[in-house]
Amino acid sequence: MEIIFQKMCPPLLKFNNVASNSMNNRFDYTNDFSKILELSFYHEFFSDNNFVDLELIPDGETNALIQNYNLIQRKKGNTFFFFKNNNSNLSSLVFSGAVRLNFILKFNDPLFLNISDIPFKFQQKFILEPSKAEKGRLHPQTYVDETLVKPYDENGIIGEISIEINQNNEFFGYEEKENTMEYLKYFARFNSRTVKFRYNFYFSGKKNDFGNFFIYDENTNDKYNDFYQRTLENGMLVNSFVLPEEIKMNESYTHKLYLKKEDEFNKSFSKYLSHPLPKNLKYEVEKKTFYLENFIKIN
Amino acid sequence: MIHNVVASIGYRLNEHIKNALSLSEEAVIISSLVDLKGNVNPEIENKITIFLLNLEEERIAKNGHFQSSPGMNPPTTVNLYLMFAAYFPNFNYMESLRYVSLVIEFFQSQNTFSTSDTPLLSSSVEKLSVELSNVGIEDIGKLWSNIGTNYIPSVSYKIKHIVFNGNNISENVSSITKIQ
Repeated sequence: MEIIFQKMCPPLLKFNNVASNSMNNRFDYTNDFSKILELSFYHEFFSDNNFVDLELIPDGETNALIQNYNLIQRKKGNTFFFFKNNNSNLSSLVFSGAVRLNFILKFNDPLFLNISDIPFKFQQKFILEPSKAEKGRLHPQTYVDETLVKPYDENGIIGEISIEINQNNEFFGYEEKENTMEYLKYFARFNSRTVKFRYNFYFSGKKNDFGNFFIYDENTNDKYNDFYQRTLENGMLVNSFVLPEEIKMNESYTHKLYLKKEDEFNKSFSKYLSHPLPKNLKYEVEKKTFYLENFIKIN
Repeated sequence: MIHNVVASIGYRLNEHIKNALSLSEEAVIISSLVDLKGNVNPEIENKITIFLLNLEEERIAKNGHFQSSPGMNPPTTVNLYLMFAAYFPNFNYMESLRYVSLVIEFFQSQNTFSTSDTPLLSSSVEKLSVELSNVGIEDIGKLWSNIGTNYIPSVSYKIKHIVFNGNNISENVSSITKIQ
């Protein structure tokens, strides 16, 4: 589809355009690109499921190919788009045949390891390729999982994406045939890590009597008083409480927990317990459990 | 939006004062001090009263959004100036100073608010930050005469960056004159 925009000229140019005896100039812009490939990324951690904070970097060979084929790569939100120029000579037989595109997926979110349901270590590389299980999916299971992890010498976590396009000359080298091929759509979906909330309470003074306190869950009306004492790595003694429910990490939670006190004289004590932040993740090897921690001072 | 922000912060402040002083009754009310006729609201006695002093547009944030969302009006970001006044009748002046101190203590310990730590806050509010707003000694007289009462112990805070964004797309693309 070719779209022509008309733009009115500013008054100064009108003055200079006496010879044409026209009141305005006309500029025609032709924009004739077609989308050939779309790569989208999703993450269950985010409320809108869109995984935005990443980069798609073509490897050297793919980069040269993008230049030779005059392709344009753009990113919008969680999706990377590739466009071809319909006015270039890509329909020529010279460009026929399958083309393999290889990309490195770079995760810019410093908390990616915390929030994602992947092995809790660095030096991981995910190999993402089109799956036969579902059209467009870049991994065999519903989410990217540890079966896709390959050894990686460098530090950090990256993804490697390999996609073959133009097997049937849909986009390039189709010569004179009618080209009505739909663009290709691929996606990858990351799951969020399953954790338990652990609240750690400490007093501002030396007082550490925690006998009358309890946790109240406003959503379920449940009460909990199974606190246990533990010593933090900095030597501080805290009273900890673990919410029994396993929770998928998310940007926001619906839990409404309060610390209350059974006290004859102070029945009104009530403190809202804020949701733990994703940076406060701790893995306990013995219990094989991820805890999302919150530290709360009681005056 | 504004009512939600003020109520949410008021809720957390109320919790803080009640826990600090072991109170069973409410310690915070959101209300004006006097009505249009100048009558003092009896509900404000022995409490911290929160009321809106002023509202201003945050113009710096407006510039950043201008080109990032074509087709949409830039979001409106406002800052609220809230007054926290402690009215204790019968010359119970020391108690009012104590309550004002608790307000300062609360905002010192928590100067940002989000849905993760403030239960009533709307999910459309990403994050709020709070800073103390100084009122000059020469402006106090004007301020309290506008409020309509004599000066009572109080402190004002600026609640920053409340974003109004309806996400409505408006038509601002060039006209298409021809389709081939």
